[in-house]
Amino acid sequence: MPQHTRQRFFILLVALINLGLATALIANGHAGIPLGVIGIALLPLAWLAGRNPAGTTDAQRGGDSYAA
Amino acid sequence: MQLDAVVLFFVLGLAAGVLKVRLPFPGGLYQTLTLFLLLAIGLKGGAALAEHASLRIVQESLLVVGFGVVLPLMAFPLLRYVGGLNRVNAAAIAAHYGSVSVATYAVAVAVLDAAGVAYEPYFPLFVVLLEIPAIIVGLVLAKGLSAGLASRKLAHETLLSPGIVLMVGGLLIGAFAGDSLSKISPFFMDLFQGALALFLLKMGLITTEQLGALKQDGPFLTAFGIFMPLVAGGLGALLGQGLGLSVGGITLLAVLGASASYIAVPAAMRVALPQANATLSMAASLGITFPFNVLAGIPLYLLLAQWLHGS
Repeated sequence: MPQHTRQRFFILLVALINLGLATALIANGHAGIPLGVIGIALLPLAWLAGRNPAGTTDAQRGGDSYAA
Repeated sequence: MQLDAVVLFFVLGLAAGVLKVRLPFPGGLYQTLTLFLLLAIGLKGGAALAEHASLRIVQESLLVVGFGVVLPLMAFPLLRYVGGLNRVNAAAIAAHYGSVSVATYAVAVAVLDAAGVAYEPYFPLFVVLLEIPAIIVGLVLAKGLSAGLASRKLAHETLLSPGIVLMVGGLLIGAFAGDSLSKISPFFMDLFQGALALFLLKMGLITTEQLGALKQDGPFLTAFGIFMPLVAGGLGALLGQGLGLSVGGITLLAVLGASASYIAVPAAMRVALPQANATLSMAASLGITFPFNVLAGIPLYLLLAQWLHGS
């Protein structure tokens, strides 16, 4: 699986965790809006990770790339 | 929704940073506030330790140190195989996330005090204990088992860093000063919340500076900076529940797990892994994880603690 796809899935997972927690908190009468906002803000980042894979890989930092 | 007053100072700093307001905050004042907070936390913990010293605290301390070893081991594969970071950068960031943030701890204590939630008073001991293991694990992950603390300079930087010396010093003074501690209490205890508020105002400004670095370095680290506190905070809460801590204690252990260092570990990493990109670690720990914990994490960990405790 390409590196940026893994990153995309990971970011989506974190976004969904936040949205899930926000929903559970709000349903139980607690303040879940901050987590909801974070979850929503993460969604476009998943798209950005796919659009610009070099932005987060080692090639840009002069490191190794064999993890990919 | 009601936010704690000290947290609102952080929001004010964030707003000022985003709006590019030039707040005249002297560097010397920031350093003084850091020194004050470290000493005050140490003194409080030392005084509590003198009252509550027991074998149980030793057993809890060993488990807390084990927790500090596990956290970077969890973070490292995620950074390496999902984030695609090289070994050195992944190890350096993992070390930051295995260690703790004293400022986040101080905010959590302020929130618990404001909410009237009791907690075990010897927690500053755990803060000190959690500073060190992650640095050693991070080094082993980067260089292999032989690295350890072989370098004398590194051992000095790790074990005698200013943060650790001030907190351990405060702990010892608090533990052995007895009743004479009351002479300095008005300064160190009564002014604590006000000093923390000023400190957080500056932290808000610093956070906005770090966010700029993350714009270049990636969506992955942003997600990582939110994912790690949720998972590590959850594990810390479970450990606290297993140790039979109070609601406040479970919350604080969750906060210690969830927070990432940006004072002690960067200093140690500069010596141990100079080739690591310090901007990546600082941007994630200070630009993402610190504000996440202050604004959303701490109330969440408190709710989780109340749920686990069945109250």
